[in-house]
Amino acid sequence: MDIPHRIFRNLYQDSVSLMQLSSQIAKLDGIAQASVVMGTPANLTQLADAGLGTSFDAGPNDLIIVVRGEASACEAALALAHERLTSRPDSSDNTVQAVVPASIAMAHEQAPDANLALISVPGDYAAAEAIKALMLDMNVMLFSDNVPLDQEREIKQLARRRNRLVMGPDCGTAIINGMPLGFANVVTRGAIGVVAASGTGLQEVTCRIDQLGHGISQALGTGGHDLHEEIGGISMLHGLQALIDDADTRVIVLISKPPALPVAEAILALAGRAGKPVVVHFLGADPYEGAAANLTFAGTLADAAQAAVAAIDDLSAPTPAVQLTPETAAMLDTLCEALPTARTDIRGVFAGGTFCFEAQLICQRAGFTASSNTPVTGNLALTDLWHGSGHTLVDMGDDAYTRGRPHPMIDPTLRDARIVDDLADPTTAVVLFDLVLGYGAAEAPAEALAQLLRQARASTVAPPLLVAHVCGTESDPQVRSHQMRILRDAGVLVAGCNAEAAVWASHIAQHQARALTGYNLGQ
Amino acid sequence: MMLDAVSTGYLIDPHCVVARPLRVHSSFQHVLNLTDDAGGWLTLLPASAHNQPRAIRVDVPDALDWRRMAAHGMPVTWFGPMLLGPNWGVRLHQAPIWQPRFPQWLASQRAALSDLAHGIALDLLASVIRDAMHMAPAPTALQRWDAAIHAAAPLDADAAHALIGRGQGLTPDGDDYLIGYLAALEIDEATSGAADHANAIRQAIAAHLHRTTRISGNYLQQAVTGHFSESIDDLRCAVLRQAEPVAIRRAAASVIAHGATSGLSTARGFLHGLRLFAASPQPA
Repeated sequence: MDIPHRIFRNLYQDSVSLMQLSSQIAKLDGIAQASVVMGTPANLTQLADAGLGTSFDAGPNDLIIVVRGEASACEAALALAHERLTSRPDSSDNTVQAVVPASIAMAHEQAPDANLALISVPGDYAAAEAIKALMLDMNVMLFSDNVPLDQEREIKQLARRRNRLVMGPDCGTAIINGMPLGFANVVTRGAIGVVAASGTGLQEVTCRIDQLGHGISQALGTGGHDLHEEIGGISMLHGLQALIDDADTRVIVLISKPPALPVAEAILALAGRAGKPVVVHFLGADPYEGAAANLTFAGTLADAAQAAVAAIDDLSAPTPAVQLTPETAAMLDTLCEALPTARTDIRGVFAGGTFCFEAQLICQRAGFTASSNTPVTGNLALTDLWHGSGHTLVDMGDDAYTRGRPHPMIDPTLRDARIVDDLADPTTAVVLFDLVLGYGAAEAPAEALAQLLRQARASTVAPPLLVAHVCGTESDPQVRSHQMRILRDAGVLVAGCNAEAAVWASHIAQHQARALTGYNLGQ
Repeated sequence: MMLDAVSTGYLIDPHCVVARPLRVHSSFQHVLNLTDDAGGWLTLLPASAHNQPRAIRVDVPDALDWRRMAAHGMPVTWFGPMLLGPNWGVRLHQAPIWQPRFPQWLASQRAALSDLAHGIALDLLASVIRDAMHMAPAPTALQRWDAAIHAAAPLDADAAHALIGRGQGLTPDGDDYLIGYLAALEIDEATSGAADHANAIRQAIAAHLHRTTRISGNYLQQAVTGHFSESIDDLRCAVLRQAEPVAIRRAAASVIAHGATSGLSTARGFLHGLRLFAASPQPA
């Protein structure tokens, strides 16, 4: 009788399958004995005791199949075992396809029901890929940036002819049917739809809506250039119409920096015909006269969320998102008592471009002209990218800081270093910053920063105050309350939203200005 | 594909933001084993399974097959309260944490099991095991320890050594037997002289974990450090609080139902351990 065996290295099969196999082999004609065991020392000893062999080159995590019987039967038995143990499960509709598609067309063949292509290729090639996707009747989310304006126009005009939506270029954030795409947060599904030409603007509004106990139907990004006159707001108009037509969307929110006037008029005209409430926040725009009755204009991102929620709840007026209560003002004033009068400057360090923009507007209204790499009208361009001077608010996500580097939301190293640098500046009164959570963002943004902050503050005499806000939700991987707790433990004043953080920072700067000059600014 | 956890074992931190990266160790139809570079272990179980200290029970669709979705070596990342593979994820943030009840029961039950209750539990267990062995093939690898059960003789270090890795299955029968044995010892450990013996067996097992499969070694490691599955927890609690016979039988049957022969081997080990310190050893 032959006693052949076969060893399967690091093969894990459940015990029921192994038992079935063992039973099946043992019943084969011509098989006198079969053993299917893991190659543990105890089992090897048992095999030896049973006369089934003594020299198996196997370890505890290897499966050994030994059969005793007629030669041909043993061969068949081992072949059967090999076939049973190494065959992959049958494919079915929900399998992960083994072949990786090398083009949009291939992917579309494998997933013909897919109606959205998310494209992230260098800008030089992005337009071509977007057009391919549109020609396959897919909508497009174009993460790529550095796409020339004329190509963006061509893509979006094609999309309009084919009645498809193009989100982008440089669209990093969207939530489609509850699925976060790119840098996006985990928010509740609900009845508020958002169209935004601003990634962090979209994040702030959707997160705030989630925090207020409501949810998002769809959150569509348009890319930052969509509302330029050359593009004409094609994506925002398409997104707005889609939400108007969407039965699950009861309130719509539109977010952008101020559009070109003709574009704004077209958008507001369509919004006025929506047949449902539309909240409009064009950051820093002058009030629009003669707007339709269903439009509400918000003053901040957080107020846009409040207004949307008020509309859903049929409230006549939304609760203001930012209220500097006497108690909060007194608290800030008390903290300022420890600051030397030489500390007068606001230093803003932002990962979110829109947060930097909004903070500039709020500080400006409080009487402060600042320098920035992305200055709002009336503010100044930075003369030194790497060191603040006077009131300075920087967008660390801008190309100037991200060339060849990951965005600060992904890798906050450079951002953190800038914060530490500003903390060390003896003229800094308050460092203002954001922490953006969600998919795509750093896993633990607060931890490393908190450690740096403790070290920096410990080595600084009468250090500046730290004010921040955390853009995220409890359902985000990083868990908003957890990040807030870490920051607070590190001595950071954590505001409820970006606007509130900017208001606090402005109040601190006003206090210091009064202490230095005896004058009140911005009042 | 995004899945939701229905519960997590108490040894898992669902807000783990400073965790080591994981890799797929082994995948089965509805079970996925993950490991990290430091030897840490984490199992994804279907919602129908009992809780384990280092497992996450996941609401998986019937058609899901981890063997198609998660190949050996595939990286898996902790991302706050989520586990993320390349094309799937498991959300943990709403999942309750399973905690065993036995430690609390042990603390509150200051008096030892009465002789009568102990005897009843032994009878019931033996009866359930006999029934199970009539219906399913008995693990022959454990036959030589049947006499020890009958005689209520404690295992010694040599026996523990011989049992580790012995028998069929991915978790060899001997390992399952030892897990049941350790679980039963803890019932009497606080109130009798079982502590020295239990520690000796734990040390003997811990020194030879390399003699069994990685998967089984993980469960033995947990048992050595006092961590057991929900079904074992239920059985221990039923015995300790001197529950109604039907409840003890049900708990025992639940243990036996696990795996092909794993549960039966575990129950036999449990019976052995429980028998050791009964005031009046009962016949098998």
